[in-house]
Amino acid sequence: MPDTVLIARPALASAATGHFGAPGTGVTLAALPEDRLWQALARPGTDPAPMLAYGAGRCPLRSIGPGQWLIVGVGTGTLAEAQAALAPTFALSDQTHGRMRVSLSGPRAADLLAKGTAVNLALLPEGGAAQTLFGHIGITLARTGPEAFELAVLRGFALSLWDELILLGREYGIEARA
Amino acid sequence: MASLIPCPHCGPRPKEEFTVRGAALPRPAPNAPVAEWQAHVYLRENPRGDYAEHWHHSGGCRRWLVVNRNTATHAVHSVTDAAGERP
Ligand SMILES: [Zn+2]
Repeated sequence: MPDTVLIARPALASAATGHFGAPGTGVTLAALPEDRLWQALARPGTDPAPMLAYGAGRCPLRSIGPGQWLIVGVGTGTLAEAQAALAPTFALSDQTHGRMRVSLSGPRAADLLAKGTAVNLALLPEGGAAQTLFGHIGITLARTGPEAFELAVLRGFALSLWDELILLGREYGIEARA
Repeated sequence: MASLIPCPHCGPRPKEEFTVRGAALPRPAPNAPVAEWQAHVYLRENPRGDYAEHWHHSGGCRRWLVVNRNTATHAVHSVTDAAGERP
């Protein structure tokens, strides 16, 4: 019996792309690079500031519960260096392979998100994040700008979420780029 | 059922994000009589009125919470992290 050969393949390789629904582009959906997504654990109440430099972008550190964070974007150092520098206060594990990130932006992005999550988007500041459900799919929602959001989702749900976002975005006109 | 639960960690969230375990009851002593354990595990009051339950915020912070709510009016009186209740 031949050994199973594992092939590295982007989770959204077969995702639908192009323009969907109403004319114009109220929302733009885009797949983000699978570059760095680490999960960190610490005792609840621990100040996460020492982890900040290891992420990058508008929202490098995303709180997903007491003592739990996602570190997103390629900042300084490698995982091994970060683990050595942050131990024993923080425990880090690489989840880059486990979760996909997509960006959702445009004047109607918040309207589209409001169809799937009950998080009050008016109270979610730039740089802020929330662990929530979008429909029945668990996501880490982050706000990266006044009209820009990022959704991190378990890899196996990425294509379902992608299709659902396109369906819900049709009334605004949605442009999807994998 | 109360539909917006004010999670102490995440803020107001819909009940769909939670998994309800059931009544939050004081645990009998390990050497308590079998009848007392039988009642603790199986017998519930199903009250019309105030009720304390363990809810898991499975779609959010993944913490166990104690939700004090009224089963008749749907009012939520308080939501606290269950870890804070430990002796
Ligand atoms: Zn919560």
